Amino acid sequence: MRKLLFANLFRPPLTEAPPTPDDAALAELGRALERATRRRLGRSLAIREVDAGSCNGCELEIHALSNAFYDVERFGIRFVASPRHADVLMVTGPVTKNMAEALRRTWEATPDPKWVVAVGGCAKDGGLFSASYAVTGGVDAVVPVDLHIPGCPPSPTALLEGLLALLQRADEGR
Amino acid sequence: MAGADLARGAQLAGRLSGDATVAYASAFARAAEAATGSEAPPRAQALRALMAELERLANHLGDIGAICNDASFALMLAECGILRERALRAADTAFGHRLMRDRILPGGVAADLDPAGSDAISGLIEAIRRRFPALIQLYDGTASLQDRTVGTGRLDPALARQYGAGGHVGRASGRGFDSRKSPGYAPYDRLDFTVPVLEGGDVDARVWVRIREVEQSLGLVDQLLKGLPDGPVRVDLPLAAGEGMALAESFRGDVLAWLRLGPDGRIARCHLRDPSWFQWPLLEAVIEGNIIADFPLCNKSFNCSYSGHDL
Repeated sequence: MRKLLFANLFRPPLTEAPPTPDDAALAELGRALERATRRRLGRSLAIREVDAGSCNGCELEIHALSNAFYDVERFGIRFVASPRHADVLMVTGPVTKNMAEALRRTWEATPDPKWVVAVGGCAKDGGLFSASYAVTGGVDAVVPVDLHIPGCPPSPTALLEGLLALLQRADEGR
Repeated sequence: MAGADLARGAQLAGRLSGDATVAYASAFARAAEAATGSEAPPRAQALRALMAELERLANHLGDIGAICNDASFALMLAECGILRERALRAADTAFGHRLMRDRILPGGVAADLDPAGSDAISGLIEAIRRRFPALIQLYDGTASLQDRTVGTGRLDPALARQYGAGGHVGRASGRGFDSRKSPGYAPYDRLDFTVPVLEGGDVDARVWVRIREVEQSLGLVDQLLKGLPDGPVRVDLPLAAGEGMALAESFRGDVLAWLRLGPDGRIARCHLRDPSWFQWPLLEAVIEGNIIADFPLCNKSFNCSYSGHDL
């Protein structure tokens, strides 16, 4: 183990330069943050991930944000284990009827100020599953959405662009 | 799904469990081909297998790291995470999507592999071959990590047999079933590979099955790249009534697809079965008598699908 750690000390870092915040996301966030916080968040966001019936594709890419290439923690963004600790709810899936109440309660359990980021095509409007009898048809059918990151699933870079846009606006909104 | 055409059916099948999107799309496509009495061209079959092995590599690498991370051994997660990311990037270059979603269609595949894609995959195989042995050694040689995995979450081989558990869950408990071998499907009948089977049944055995499968997949990718047949990558399927079934080996076990087509070629009924159906009940048996802190290890070493099971 020591040998591996030592060798890694001398390898150049794999972590890549951050993408610029997504313009479309910034425009979408303009609306959201009018009602947003004056409290200082600092450059820090705690995210609670909520799987509201996704196929787990979005989760795979959200997980990838923590690998050495994207290293999302360098931006002060981290994932937490309870909505009580979260600033942001990151919701995936078409919101199945079975998950609608759980999502609503998770939102209510999240302290203000809070943002909701809907991730993926399903979270936007139900996506391919929108005609199904078992889904409510998107996150905003259940809780208000501040930002949508499209893709099936969105790549880690797309996720990062959206989150950086959120951070930038949260900074300006103080 | 009922009433949908095959194109939409394939999209839905590929979204049952995102981590096994290639396996699902492949099982669905072959079931549709069986229903219409047609066959994908040889090159398409080889490309499907190439995607399937890339998917297996990415998932196994991710799992090996994540299991160790559940024993608070973060170095392994970081190192395996790098290899997993490289695999996804190679898949993106070669097939145009990191998870290779919607790349497999009834009748063939969505796009052909070009030399740049082929180079990306060769580069990936080389990178894994260079880096992975040190990680195996790290896993095998770290006593504090082994202390957490050896003897933890033991699955009785009799239970694995009784439930027909596939994938690493079955193979770590003496059940060697692999649908690529039996009943077998093209192009695996022409490829040289072995199916690792262990008897230990614990978390450690499930890690080792994954490690051995990574090695086998590397060999399979080599063979596939070298012997890639020429020719078209897609044929049109006739619009006809029929019924078909197929198995495809995902990284977590055998995915089954069955469908019945109406006279207009649309889907009358369809059933997709995730390997997790036979694994979730066993997880309950496996955690008995283990400390709570070992639950994440047991759970991750199974890595059953939530979405694939909860349709």
